[in-house]
Amino acid sequence: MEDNRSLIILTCIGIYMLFCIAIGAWAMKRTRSTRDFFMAGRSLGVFVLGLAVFSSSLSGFGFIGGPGLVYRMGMSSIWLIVISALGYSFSFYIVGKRLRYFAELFESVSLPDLVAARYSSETTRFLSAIIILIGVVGYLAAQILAMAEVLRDLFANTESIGPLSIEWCVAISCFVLVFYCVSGGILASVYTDVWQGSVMAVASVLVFFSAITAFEGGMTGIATTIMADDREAIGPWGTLGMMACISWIFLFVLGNAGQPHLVTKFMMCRRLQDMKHILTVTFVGFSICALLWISIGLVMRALVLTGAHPEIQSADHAAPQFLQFYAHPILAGIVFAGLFAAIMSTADGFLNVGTAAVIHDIPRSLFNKSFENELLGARIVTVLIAFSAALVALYSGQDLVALLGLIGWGIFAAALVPVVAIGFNWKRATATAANVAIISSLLTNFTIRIASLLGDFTIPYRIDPGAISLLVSMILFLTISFLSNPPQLDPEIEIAMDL
Amino acid sequence: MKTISLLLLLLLSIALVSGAIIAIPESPNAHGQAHEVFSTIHSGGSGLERHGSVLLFGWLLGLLVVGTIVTGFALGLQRNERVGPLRTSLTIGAIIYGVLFSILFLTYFGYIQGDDTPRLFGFPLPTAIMLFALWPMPVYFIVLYVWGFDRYIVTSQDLERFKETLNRRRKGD
Repeated sequence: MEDNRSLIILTCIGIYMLFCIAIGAWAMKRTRSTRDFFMAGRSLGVFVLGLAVFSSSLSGFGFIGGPGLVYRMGMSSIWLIVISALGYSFSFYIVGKRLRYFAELFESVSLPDLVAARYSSETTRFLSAIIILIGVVGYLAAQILAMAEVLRDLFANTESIGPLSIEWCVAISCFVLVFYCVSGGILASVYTDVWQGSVMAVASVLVFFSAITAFEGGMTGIATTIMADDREAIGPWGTLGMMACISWIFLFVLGNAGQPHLVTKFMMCRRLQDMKHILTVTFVGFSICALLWISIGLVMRALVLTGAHPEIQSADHAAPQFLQFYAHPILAGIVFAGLFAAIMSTADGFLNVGTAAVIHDIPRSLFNKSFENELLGARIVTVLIAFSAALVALYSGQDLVALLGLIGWGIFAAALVPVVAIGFNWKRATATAANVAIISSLLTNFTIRIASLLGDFTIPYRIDPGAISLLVSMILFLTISFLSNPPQLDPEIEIAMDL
Repeated sequence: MKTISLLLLLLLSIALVSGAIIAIPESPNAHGQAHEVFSTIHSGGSGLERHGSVLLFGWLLGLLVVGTIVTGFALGLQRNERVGPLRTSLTIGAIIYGVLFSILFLTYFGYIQGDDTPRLFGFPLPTAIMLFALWPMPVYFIVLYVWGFDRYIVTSQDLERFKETLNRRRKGD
């Protein structure tokens, strides 16, 4: 079995992808209108939405980058897990019911649709759609590249198949993603999310037990070994330090409510009353998957420190190396399928919100009308966005892809937290303030990130640039709204905000 | 004070404290340093050296962030600019979270002085507080949301009023 490890892993990934294709084919028959394509006909129940929310927020980063960060920095990145439940709670408390009310009242099919209704401003709709599009292409490119690289490594290690070029790997990954997103729209996306979330949860539990038994003394032995080498690494702030971790708490808890691929799902809920149970399912699902993130990073650090495992090439190899040397081939296969599930479940959410921005919101904001056959247009645009993201992934250079992937969360947070999370709960919020907040999010995120890429500039204590951007845009949004005359609101909007 | 004004006040305070922190010179190991043996691993070095001068500011910043998050919860629960009956429960949650955060800082202060700290599953006390107290703490807010949802967040009267608005709008269309 060991000799065929890569083949077994590829088979598991193949089976997983076939399931995704089957779900896409099933969902195609149920997707008859734009509302079905973007909102799943607002018909989704507790379990489906709960799993979809957590699985679309746990990207490939949770399976590769996250364990890599724990390996390199110790406990620092574990804050991202510790605060995740707080982040989900924040989103449900602040936008859960509000977005659902607005979505039904205004028959909305996208987040910018709601923004336009709330602020009575097509400019705000346009800016929010543009922000979503920029973030989506960046995020998608990063996800596609991650899938293709993992696939290329697996093919290279499979003697019976042999190496495959990165272009072919991008094509294979994109084909499956695009097939189910085009055929079944968001319905296929959320039902594949359920399948993907289940695969991730199973993989995470199995890996956790596999990891703690891979080191003598289990978790106690791992922690003791790391502490003996460097007390700070196993201290609460890890090696990155306190201020960076606190800036992550700020960015990732508040920023959760600004992630369009997550909060848009609130609009698809069948019954408003289901919202309370969806939060519970999301919390449980994410907590289970976090086990993989924590355990692999810590065990690989301890194994390398004691010399039981040779030093790995880069921190991102922590998870693949663990799976190669310490996990049963079938378990490794399930985890790699889980990795693809994590990447695809995030990518499909982005593809859907990006498509809505292009086919629905930008034309409406510019020409005040929609395409005649929006459903067909949505399918074509889905292909085009995926194709553009694939080109960016292949030909723009890894630095740019990494930069775009990195700032995606920060841009969404800084632009949409004030506009959506605060603005939908505060009647005094104005369209001007919303527009300024959106523009500020772009300017601050790009300026700080590019300055740090080009020069030697870093923010002291590694405070996250996204956190600074979010802080600035929220303060600008509140201050400008306070200084402006209160806007005249449509009576129906007043009611939706009073409920 | 109105929730929204409190939110702005907290954000301005965060900006102020962050500015003060940035003005304090960093130690060379402020955000980790290369490990002596392994190039792919970072080490923190002396905790006292890198965090000693900013510990108080860090604690203050942490509390302000916790306050901002819970104020955000309150903003989401508002109707007619009032948080309603869940206000007390939210305040209690914020206090518990703040106290746990403060205990983490207090124990970390001892930890960086080289104290022989108690350990739980091998993790030193401040890390154990992070993992076994702060991580599960949001369950409090989740339970509050689930319990209070039908009672205060989306009541049957709300649904009725919403249905009327929806019908009016559809007839108007």
